[in-house]
Amino acid sequence: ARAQAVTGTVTSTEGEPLIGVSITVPGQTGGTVTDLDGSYRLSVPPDETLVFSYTGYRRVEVAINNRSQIDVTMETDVALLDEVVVVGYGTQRKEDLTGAVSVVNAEELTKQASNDVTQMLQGRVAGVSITSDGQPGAAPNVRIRGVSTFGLGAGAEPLYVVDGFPLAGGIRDINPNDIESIQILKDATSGAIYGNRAANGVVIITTKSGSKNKGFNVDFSAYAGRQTVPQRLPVLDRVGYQTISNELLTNGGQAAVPGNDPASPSFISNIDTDWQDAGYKDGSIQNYNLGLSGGTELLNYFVSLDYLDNRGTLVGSGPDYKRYSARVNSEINLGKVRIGENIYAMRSDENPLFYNGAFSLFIPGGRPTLVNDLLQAIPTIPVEDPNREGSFGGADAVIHQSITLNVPGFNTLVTNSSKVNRLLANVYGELDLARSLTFKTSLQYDNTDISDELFAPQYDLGYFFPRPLAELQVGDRSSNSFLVENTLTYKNVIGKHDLTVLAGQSFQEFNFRQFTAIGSGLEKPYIRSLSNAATFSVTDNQQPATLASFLGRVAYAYDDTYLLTLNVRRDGSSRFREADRFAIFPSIGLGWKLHKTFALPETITSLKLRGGYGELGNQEIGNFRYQATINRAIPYEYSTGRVFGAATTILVDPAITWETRVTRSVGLDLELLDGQVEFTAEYYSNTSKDVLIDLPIPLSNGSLAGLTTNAGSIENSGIELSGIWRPTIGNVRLSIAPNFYTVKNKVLEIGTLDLISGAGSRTEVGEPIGQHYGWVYEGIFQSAQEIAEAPFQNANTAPGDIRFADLTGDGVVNDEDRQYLGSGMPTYYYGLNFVAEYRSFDFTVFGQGSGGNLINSNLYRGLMPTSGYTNWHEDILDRWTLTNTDTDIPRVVINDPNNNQRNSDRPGWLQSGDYFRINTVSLGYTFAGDLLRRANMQSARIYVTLQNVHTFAAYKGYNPDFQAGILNPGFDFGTFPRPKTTMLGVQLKF
Amino acid sequence: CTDQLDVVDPNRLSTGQYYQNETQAVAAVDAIYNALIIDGMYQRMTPIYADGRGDEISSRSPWPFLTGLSSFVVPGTDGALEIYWAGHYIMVSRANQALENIPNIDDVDTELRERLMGQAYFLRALAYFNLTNALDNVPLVLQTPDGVESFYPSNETVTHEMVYAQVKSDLESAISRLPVNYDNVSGTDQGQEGRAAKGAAQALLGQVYLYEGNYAEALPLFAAVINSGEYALAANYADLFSQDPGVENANPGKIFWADFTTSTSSEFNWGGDPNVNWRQFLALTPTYSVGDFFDFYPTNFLYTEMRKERTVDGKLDPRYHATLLSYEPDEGYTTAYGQDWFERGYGENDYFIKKYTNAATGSDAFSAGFDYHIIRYADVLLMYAESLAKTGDIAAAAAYVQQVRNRANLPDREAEFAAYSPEQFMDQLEHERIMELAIEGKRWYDLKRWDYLQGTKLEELKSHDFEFNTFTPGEDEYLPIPQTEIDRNPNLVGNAAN
Repeated sequence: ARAQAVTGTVTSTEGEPLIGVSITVPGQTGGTVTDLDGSYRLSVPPDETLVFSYTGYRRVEVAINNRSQIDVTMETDVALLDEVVVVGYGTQRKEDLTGAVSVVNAEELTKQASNDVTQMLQGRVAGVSITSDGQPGAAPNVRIRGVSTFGLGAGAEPLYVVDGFPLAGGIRDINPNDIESIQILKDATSGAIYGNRAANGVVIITTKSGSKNKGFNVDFSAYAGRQTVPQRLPVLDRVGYQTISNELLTNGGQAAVPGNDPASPSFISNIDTDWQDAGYKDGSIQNYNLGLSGGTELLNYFVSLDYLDNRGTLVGSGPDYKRYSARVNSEINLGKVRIGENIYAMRSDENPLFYNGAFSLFIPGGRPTLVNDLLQAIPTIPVEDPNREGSFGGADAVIHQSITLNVPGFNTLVTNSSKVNRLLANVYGELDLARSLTFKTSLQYDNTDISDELFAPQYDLGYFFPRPLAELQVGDRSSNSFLVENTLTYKNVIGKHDLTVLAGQSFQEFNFRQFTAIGSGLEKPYIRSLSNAATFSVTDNQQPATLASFLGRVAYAYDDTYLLTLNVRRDGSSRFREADRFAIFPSIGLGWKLHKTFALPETITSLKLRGGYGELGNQEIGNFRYQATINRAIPYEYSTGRVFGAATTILVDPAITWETRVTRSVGLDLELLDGQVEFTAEYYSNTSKDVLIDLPIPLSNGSLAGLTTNAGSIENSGIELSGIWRPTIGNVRLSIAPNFYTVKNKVLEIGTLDLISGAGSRTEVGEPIGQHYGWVYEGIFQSAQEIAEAPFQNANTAPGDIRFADLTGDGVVNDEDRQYLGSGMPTYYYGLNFVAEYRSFDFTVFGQGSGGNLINSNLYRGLMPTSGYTNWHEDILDRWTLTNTDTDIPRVVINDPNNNQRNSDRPGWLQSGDYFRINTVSLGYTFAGDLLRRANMQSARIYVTLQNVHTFAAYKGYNPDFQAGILNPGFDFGTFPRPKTTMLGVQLKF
Repeated sequence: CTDQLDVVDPNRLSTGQYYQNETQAVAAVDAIYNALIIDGMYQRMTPIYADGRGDEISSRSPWPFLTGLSSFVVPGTDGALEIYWAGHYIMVSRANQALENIPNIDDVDTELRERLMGQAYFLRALAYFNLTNALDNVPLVLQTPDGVESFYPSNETVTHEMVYAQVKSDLESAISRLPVNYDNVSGTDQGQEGRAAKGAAQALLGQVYLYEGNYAEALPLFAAVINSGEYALAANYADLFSQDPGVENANPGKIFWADFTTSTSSEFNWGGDPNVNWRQFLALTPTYSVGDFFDFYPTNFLYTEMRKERTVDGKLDPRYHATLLSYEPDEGYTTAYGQDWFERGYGENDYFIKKYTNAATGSDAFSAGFDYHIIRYADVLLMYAESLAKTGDIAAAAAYVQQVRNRANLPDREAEFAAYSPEQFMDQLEHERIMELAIEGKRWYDLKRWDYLQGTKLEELKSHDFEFNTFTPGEDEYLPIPQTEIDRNPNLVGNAAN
């Protein structure tokens, strides 16, 4: 088509002309900018599309459609100064914040594919550490500004508030596509309004709503991708495995295992199973989302439907996760009265690898994720074996003598499902009582029903894993929470005084009941109904709790320069005895907009100094912990039959109370060049008091659990730096957003204890939680003479064993010769988001990492036993032998008389946790022109995304950012590998 | 609003509401018995602490703790050492609760109260007897802890002798309160075999004296048990190791045992907070079975020793067939676990542990319900014979030895034994104890009191079981007190093995 003139003006939503807006045509050179009146003129073919871009505003694309005049209104971007953030029971201008609040751009997050929004937050927010594994449906661990609890009875996860509703538990069920914004309250200055649940931080999520006076919009987005396990760990094949197994038995003076002994008739030479090939498969992820929104002066609405299907990478019946969800958010605005609701309904079908801790019923020995078993499986067992019940291969007690679990077999035979039905609804009404006074009441209801079913048929998976009886477990977990809240808000500006006062009341009730029935002895052909079982077991567990609170806030600004925020909440919780039931959590925040007071260089748009102090509580300690009870179900059997005895089996501390976190922080917010550059620096130092510890009282007290009591104190401090820079270079618009933060953790008190022992780690006063602890490696003994001259190690130490250091110098290496071997927790974290837009192309790279820690990898150590009957990592081929003496891997010998496998810093035993992961690389193209017009579309974007692209790490396990126990932060039990995802997606706007 | 914050545990009764009536007094004692069937006691650890260290079996377990235990190299830091320790102190704790609370319950029949107290004393004594036998200088916890101070008992001045003194005192308290049996008592405990009776307490006290070498004190106690008329040798030795409750309950040779039952309830009785879904299975069964965990196998010494003497019919001792599993086509033993010997992949000359396993039937090892014998009549007869011999009456001792042999259909050699020198007699008694009591947790303590653990005798053990090659005299007579427990308790010190 021939070029023709198009003219028009560009204005802001307030009607102001915008000067210098860049107008381009995709695929063409040239373009123009608006003048002082916001007007432009351009010569362009009439079937093209115009792209309007302007710093601080959202990009707009308009198809010309043969028009000669096109006027455009541009909306401000989320990054803009006037941004309003949700701070709990209200909103505040971002520029008036005094507390540590991080605001997350939800749109940027959804460039990743995940079932869980918290996983998408990894590396995005300074001060927020997120770890998870690669299981579909996984719920990550979230730690805000360090770990402020030992996790011994108390939760370490933040409080999630969705549309004003404090949820009991995580937000795994929430559809990430519905989320408009996420605010993370990192200190008491912002979080004290949530009182006794805010100690671990608060994550406030606001879901999307329709805009007033906006037409009917339809958004459709979809993606589909393939997931693969990128790492294959190098384990030994048959020949390698048999060589090492024979050598270690021979070294110990024992006969070879028949299956590995070439001289035995049982020698296996024709099976060489690669368990990783047999156990991993390609997984997939797909998501379809339809959003409808719009609004008039009277009513605005947002409706969405969503379907997510994520199939895991393990052969067999899981892990996988499917979710269907629907949301309706709307608000009726009758002037002085506003009535609205948020209704969310979801259903998920999951096949998890674990089920309510009952998993150990099926496999003796309390095993970790199946991943460890898969890698340690010996290659001389076939995957399938028609001669065994269930038709899968297994080890023979005599021929193999190996505890090898056939993971694809087990995961196929045993099926495990959890179906979640959830309704999360709130209804609110707001009434303007006077010009400055608003009353709000809201009723909220959250109901979750989870049906669990686990079925294990009769099978024979060999040595250690026989299952002579079929078993069916059927469980129902039912929880509901009811909340009523009333608040009164006074907001007024009188002269230079800007005052907001909030007062409110809240009452929340929680109910939980879990009912599980287990039937065993079902006959073939199996009918999965308990009615077909021969014997039964039933358990019932009820967990009611209540919270009653009063809350208040004063936010005051003088001359838009000096800021003051006071928050307070008085909470009462049913979890504590009457005398200790109530507590007050206050906070104060101060801010000073320096650019209003001082004449700063013109490049500095704003500069704010802020700081605060306050107290937060943690009541997530479980119910009835202060109540001593009698267990009346202690069975014994006399000749006449079963009786039940009664005794106190667990000692309690009746004075147990909440943990308190005292937060202190100062921050500096800087903006340059009208928001082209934003930068925040912050220092925090938090102290947790009355931290619950599971005082591991001596077992000689006969208590089945430690005494949970408030006796600890932990300090976390660090700096947080984050920023964004949005330069435009020629036609390329860039956005570069780095963040960096540190966490320095120090235990101040553990009650009467000197230390708490963990898995190869220790927690001690004056040190960080869970540092690695053990012996010091000094090399490998090469001769009997060396052993004789060295400090005494063990009666049977021989050449090829490790020489451990005699730190005490007493001539004997014993328990006294252990020392700290390094941090179990990362000490710094960072992330970098890079976006480039050029014409119709957009390109994103997002990476994150952490470091400063060492990892005790259960997976790697399990593959490097110098005494054992399972398979090995290829590193074992370099073990010490008479002919291979220049090595740091000790000899292999059954029973390991020198205990070479003990916790130590021998090479490989503690591996660097430093890593940097290129998490997301995404390339998109936005269509314009005829095609869209004919399809009645406003815009269409297609993209390809690679996720978990590459991890730069020396770590020899799967995930350097594994989920760990609080007291064992450096202990990787064996997490499920994160998949690499390659996906294709579309985003359509109608 | 504040009323709404009063939420009591709907799942359990609070402590203050308990110990009001007779039923609750009985339940307080029943709870103590439950500790017998957990991992830390007779479900697994107590038997293998003795058997594993003896010369009758060796370990080839994939679990380093078991191989380490058997070869005396388990480090004090091994967390698995806690299992035995915790299991026994759970029994102590429940016994202490019963002893403290039962006297304060008014609404209890006086005789029943005495019986209950007697059982609590007996069970506490049993726990401390096992604790000090395995671990030497264990702290004596005799009261329910109240407050932080009492959580950290000291063993700094405790000796093996002091623990034995407490055990003896508790057993004296038990003997004076316990009935000879529960056949005719009036109470809900009537007919409940499995409760400790007077004979159990007397036999255990006799055993304490025997272990001390105080034979004169032991004699009247064993004599009382034998003369009580309550016990007799079961006609068929193999019946002692039957899972059939009918056969088990009818056995007159049982004196005290841990009652395991065949069950498939959902939760295993390893430990943890008990509940109604607990199984009561004997984990020793999969531990010893070649068909399951195969953690242990018999030594050639045991195999050879048990085949030495034939019955009057020229056959293998019937106790051999109840103890060891091997291919004996001449005597009709050609199967294992209900399958043909060779189909299972075993060689003609292989031999495995049979006692307390399900090798005869092949049923599910994880629901094994063999009652585990803690004290049985044949052992009392042999301990009595030992005490008699050690006090000079070899002739009388020979009669009791032959009484035990008769059941096994062995030749009558009473006159021959009666003429033995003390050394000869003890050699014979040693053989007889192996034949009768192999793999029943007795041999290790026999070796200990017979001074086997040093010098030439130790060399002999090394020839029986290679695991003694790593035995260090002066250290390995005991297992270490768990280092993790020492870490938790500043008042706790280790023993020679730490």
